[in-house]
Amino acid sequence: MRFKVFRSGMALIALSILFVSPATLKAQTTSLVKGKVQNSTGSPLAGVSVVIRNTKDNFTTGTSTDSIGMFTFSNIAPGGPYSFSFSSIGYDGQTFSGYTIQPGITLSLAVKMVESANASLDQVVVVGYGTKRKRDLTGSVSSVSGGELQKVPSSNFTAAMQGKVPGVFISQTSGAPGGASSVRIRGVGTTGNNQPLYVVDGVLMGGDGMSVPGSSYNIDPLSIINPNDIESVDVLKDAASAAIYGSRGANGVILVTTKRGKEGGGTVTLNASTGFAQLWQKPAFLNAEEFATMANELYVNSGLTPNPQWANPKSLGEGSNMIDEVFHDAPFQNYDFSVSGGTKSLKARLSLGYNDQMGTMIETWYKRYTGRATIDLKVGSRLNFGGSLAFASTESKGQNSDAMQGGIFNLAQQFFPTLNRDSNYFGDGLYYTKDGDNPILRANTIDNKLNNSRIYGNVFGELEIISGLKFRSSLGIDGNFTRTSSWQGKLQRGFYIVPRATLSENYDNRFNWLLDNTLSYSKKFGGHSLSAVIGQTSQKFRYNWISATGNDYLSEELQVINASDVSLRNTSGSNSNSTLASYFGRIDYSLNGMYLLSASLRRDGSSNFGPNNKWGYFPAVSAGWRISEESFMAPLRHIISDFKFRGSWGRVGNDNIPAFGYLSTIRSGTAVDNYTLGPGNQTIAIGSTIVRPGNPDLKWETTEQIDIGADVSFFEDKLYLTADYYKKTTVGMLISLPVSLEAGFQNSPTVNGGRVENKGWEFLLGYRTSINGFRFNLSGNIATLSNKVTSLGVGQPIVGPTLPGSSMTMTYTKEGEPIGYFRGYVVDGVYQVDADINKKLQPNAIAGDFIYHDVNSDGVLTDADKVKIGKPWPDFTYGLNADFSYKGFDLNVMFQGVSGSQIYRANKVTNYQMKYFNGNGIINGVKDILNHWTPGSGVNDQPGLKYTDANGNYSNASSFFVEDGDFLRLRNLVIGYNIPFDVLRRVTGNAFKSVRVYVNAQNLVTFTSYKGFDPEIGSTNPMNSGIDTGIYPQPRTYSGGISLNF
Amino acid sequence: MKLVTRYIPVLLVIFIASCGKKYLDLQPTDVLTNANFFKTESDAQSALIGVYAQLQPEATFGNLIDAANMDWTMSGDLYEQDQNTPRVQLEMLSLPADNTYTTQLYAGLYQGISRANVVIDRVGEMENLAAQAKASIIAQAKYLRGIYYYKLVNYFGGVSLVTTELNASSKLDVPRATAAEVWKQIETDLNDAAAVLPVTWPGTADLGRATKGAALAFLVKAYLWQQKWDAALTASEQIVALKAYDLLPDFRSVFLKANEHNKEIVFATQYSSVNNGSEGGALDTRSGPRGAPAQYIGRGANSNFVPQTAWINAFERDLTGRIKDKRYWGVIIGPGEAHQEMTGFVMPLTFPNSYTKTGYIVTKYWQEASLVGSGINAPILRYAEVLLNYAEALNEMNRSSDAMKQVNLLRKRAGLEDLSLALAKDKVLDAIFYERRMEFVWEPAGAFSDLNHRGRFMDFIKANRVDYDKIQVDTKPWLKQQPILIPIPQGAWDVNKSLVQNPGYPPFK
Repeated sequence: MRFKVFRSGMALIALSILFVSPATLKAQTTSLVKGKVQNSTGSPLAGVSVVIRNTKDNFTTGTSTDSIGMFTFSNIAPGGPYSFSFSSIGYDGQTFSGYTIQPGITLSLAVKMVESANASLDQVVVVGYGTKRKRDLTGSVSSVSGGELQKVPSSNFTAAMQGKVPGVFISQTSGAPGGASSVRIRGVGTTGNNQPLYVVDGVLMGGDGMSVPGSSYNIDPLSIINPNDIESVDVLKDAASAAIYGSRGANGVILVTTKRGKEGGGTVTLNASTGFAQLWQKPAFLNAEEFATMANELYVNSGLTPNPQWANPKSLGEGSNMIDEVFHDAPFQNYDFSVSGGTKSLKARLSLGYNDQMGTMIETWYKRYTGRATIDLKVGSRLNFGGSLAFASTESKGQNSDAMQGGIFNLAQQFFPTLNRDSNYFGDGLYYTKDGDNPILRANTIDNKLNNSRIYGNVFGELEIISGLKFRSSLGIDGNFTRTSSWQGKLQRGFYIVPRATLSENYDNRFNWLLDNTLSYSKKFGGHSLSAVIGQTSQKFRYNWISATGNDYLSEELQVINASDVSLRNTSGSNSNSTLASYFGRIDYSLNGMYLLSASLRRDGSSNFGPNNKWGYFPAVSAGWRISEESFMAPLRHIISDFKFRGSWGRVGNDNIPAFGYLSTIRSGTAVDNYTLGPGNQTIAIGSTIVRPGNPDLKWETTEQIDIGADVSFFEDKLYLTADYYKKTTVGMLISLPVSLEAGFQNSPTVNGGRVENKGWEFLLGYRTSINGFRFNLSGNIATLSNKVTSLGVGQPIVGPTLPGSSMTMTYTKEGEPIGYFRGYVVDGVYQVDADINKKLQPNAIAGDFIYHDVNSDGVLTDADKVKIGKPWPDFTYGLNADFSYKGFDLNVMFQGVSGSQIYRANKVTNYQMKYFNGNGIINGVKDILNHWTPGSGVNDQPGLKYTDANGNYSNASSFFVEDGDFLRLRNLVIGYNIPFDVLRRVTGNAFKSVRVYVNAQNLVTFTSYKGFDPEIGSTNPMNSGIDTGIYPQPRTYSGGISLNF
Repeated sequence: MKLVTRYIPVLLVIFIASCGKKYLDLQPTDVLTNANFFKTESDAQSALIGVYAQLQPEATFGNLIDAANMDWTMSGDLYEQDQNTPRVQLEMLSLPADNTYTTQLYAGLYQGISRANVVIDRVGEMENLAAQAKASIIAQAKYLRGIYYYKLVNYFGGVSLVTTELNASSKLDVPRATAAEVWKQIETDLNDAAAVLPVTWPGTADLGRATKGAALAFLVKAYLWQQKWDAALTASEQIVALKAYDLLPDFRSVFLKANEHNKEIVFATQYSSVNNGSEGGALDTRSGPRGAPAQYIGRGANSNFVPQTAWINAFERDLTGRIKDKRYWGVIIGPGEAHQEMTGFVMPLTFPNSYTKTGYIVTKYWQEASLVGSGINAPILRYAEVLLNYAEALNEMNRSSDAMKQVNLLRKRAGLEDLSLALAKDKVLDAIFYERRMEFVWEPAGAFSDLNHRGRFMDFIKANRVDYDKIQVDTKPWLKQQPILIPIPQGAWDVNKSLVQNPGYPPFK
């Protein structure tokens, strides 16, 4: 076998045919065509589909490249003209035509494939129950290739998608290793659950986070998918695209396609990376001397005796700094290994992965093992089978880090710098809060662990009944098994007493199966192209759990329930089921590839809804006009290479509500229902109460969305632009009815009340080219968002949750404003002298207290004076992405930013007040409070220090707590080097197909004016978003890795 | 093609099998619903227990928010030693509408009313239920609804009257009724209950349930509030005539866990430490000295409220200066004094400030080191109070010497000399209020509420609170009202705009 090695040469058009050489074989009646396919860095590409076609007699045959990128066609009839088409997922397809083949001659081809960018029109996009070429799309669908995701080393792919897709706002809810992302597609449509639907290889996955017991953060549910197993992610943003998922599509749909085996000899890939994470910003806290000075002033101001232990601040010096003790540089490592390959009829891929991360906060870590197997089998010419099976095991240790009360992060902020790292909180209750604890000791004596196993996959069969008509049946399963344990030993540590050791263990078991049957048809005749799919799907969910608690351990060495006092064990458990059944259909039509039309309808039934509303219909229509194909555009084709207008309308639902909301449910036997009667050591009488009144008319929320967009590319697709405008209206928003206290309900009934409008613009603009081997691809995206509640339907505005430990409510939802905006008094400064105080307005104020603005000028401070003081939702989000490569080097730079949002820095309640909420004693504060108000200081932005806060400076929500939430973050920076193939060959023989080494930094630079630890405050609850209660901060990470292909 | 013909039927079978008609008609497997509950007597009994259960929260009948935070701290005899802001708001009588504790009290009481309404309506409609059981269940529920409303009207004045079960489609923003309307409802409920409830429950397993005496005792309190002296007198005499109650000779033993359901307890909120304290209370940790050794305080202690020196000084003393009143020695310890049961615990002479600011600690509920929720019951109404209420009614009916006989019963038990039976009417009332003050520390009697219903509260604090000047009464128009009412909570108005604020407070808007 002989072929010419590719030499780089003419490179203005990166995809080019390079070599055609006559071979010196004996004259034959047929000819041989062979060749080699490489990627842009010269590594061989396996599994590339190669089709040869004689345009004259319509002869067509195809093959794929083998593991070293080679393909061969023997017995090709001489003549022509022949054309050769090369295609592979993730690469731009290319066709070379006009070849005439001489008899008995071997034609050798060397082809370089270029990785496709988003804008590539031939890219295949996964849509619900099918695929489409990007050029034929009529809805708003954004895709991210696995290759792009894999540039951002992360344990979950949602984190790697940050900033890549306009209109998809992803923020991390916690910097804990494995911590969950909050994903919002085109705004927030409901006060309830806003997480999109995830569909992994056709299996609809629940998005419930895994919660580490005792911690206030969740492990991302999608972290069960190893990002290195992902081929592509497609986001269905508009309702027309999502409507095929009916009652579950309202928050958008994220379709994940995993890698599968390709035809060709075996490919073995090994990736390894390691690095470490650290805090990028640590606000400064008072040192011992400053703390004692502030404390003394606080007591004197309040007419109390200062603590004699702090009488001489100078002697206390710097003291301890618990933030430095509680956070450390945290190493992580990641390995994965895959094998893939196949023949024409059988293809398979197997992979295993291991991810191990320490948290930047002490005593937190995350480990994950993943495994995935896919197989595709072709039986005869009309029948295909395939399937996948994946497994993930997650272990994590967590801390109650985020909670303002008792979380170790907050304890570290509050810790007395006058004490050393091994000290307890103890002493006079006037000085030492009873609610504090030493965070290090607490972290070391609490052991909270999560152990989750997830197994999911599907098997499908597909039969081509007649040409173009296919029947496909798929059965998927998803088993999710979580065991958590929470251990706390017996101790008395200052005021903190745990009278006996406790171990709680919980086991929960979620399982669902999903059956899909679809019949699809596609046909081309003349300029018409028609495809249609109809189908049926049903899914059943089962959930049960059991938990056990053991108390009082003879030996704390044995941390198992069996070692506890047998008379002090508690158990509980329960189960539930739900079912869904659906029918759906879609029809796509195009005329001359120019006029595109698509329509779909889904009918969904759910056991969660009552007889009045069991079933719902979800229709959608969309259309596209590829104006660039019109003849009048022909003169412009050298400028505008493609131009498509599209528009869509659709209706989708959100069924994310507790099951059986239509019934009044009765709770029995819990501590709040039971009572105790009788003499002596009384027994428990089992009580029952109506826990939530039913609402027989309850149904899913409905979201209607229109989307108008255009995809334009210029100069042979070098410059590309996608623009969309959408308006999304949620009607019948499920709200927990704000019930008058007089009704006395235990839980509010859920009603279909509100109406929310989200609208915005999305733009993606990119430019890519290559000059003398220097390739680059620059793209930027920006999305605007305007969120407004247009009706609440239920009369009263919804007051958001109370800040734990206080009576402060920070968010408010009412007509005409965004969901969950910040509401409170406007601080007009600080009363400088007692004489200035308006006693009618603020009867309890003294000099040094906030002046609250009397908005309606009626002389009294009432609810009406609380106004909008911020909102957690950005006005726009943006991302900038730059890829450069030259020879073997590549560089990726990715910025992500948000603008127009605010953060409610609830931590100021403790950090600035130096008080543990309203409790006794004091705590440490941030260095900023050195600039607090004192008589004559003229300070207007911070109140004076006081023991008792009669004016409510720290219990009234106010503009004092609101800070600018804008940030721009260098999310990702990667520099990689691919060792050239010929060097590899020379050094290692044929052992390696490619070797890549890289270094990476994430969150290297953050531009923000936010003074807390981190401006990225994700939250899964829209009524409680953007509130910083001491959220586990996002770390900065540095890593390096190697990727080997055998 | 063979393959094709073989697989199509298989796939079609799967297709059809998944579309069964019953497939979507699931019923909950983990909770009961209105469809399958209220069928049997045990359902009805269990729902009634749910109404009792709402007595246990600290916000309702747990003797914390009402008895300690409001009654005893507002009158100033207990001291909130942490100076926690919402408690200081009550202590200093600033009474903002968004006070956490008054909001919890209001919400908790209405939850109890809602539970009672469900039982009264649903059990009333049950057909397969013996008449006697039905009557008994409804009578208990009415008693409970009556006392939940008693507490509301006592603090907030006329409140919204809800007497039927509500659901998601009901009118939920019920406007306020007048105090007279609420009192009328309370009288109706308690009279209905008193007519049916037994004097004592025949089975010991039922100890702790509402009785005829308890219903009458609350009726007396309702009559006293409305100055229906005659009715109060009649009902008091009915209670005495039941001969079911008596004063215990030893004051402390009234409260001891080992002596629950004693003859002095007319009604108490029941707690138990079984089942890991899931039905236990926290009064022990609220009263025990913070930071004391774990062997005495178990799972912890907070010294949330400690007696003020002014109150200690109000106890009668002998010539040596030693307190004579056995009630002090029964439930208080001061510097150098040992705990009544845990004698190893002696209050230090120079006490750590974390234990108590004044040197004194209430041991009424701190009786042992409990590792879980405490089983100590919270006394709601004692025979001692019945006697003093009786005395008040007698005095108002111009039978002052009979009134003093009741007062002297309590004094005798306290080891004090009898007072003259010939005291003038106003002095008798003073004597009744003195006994109330010394008798009921940290119980829902004897402080703000009692003083308030007779219009004595402002005079009392002026005479007894050392921090009276700090309160700045003149800046607080709500204190000039009679009776003084707690503001309707801001949180209630947030969702029910038909509510109107009590006089003297900034109106809602």
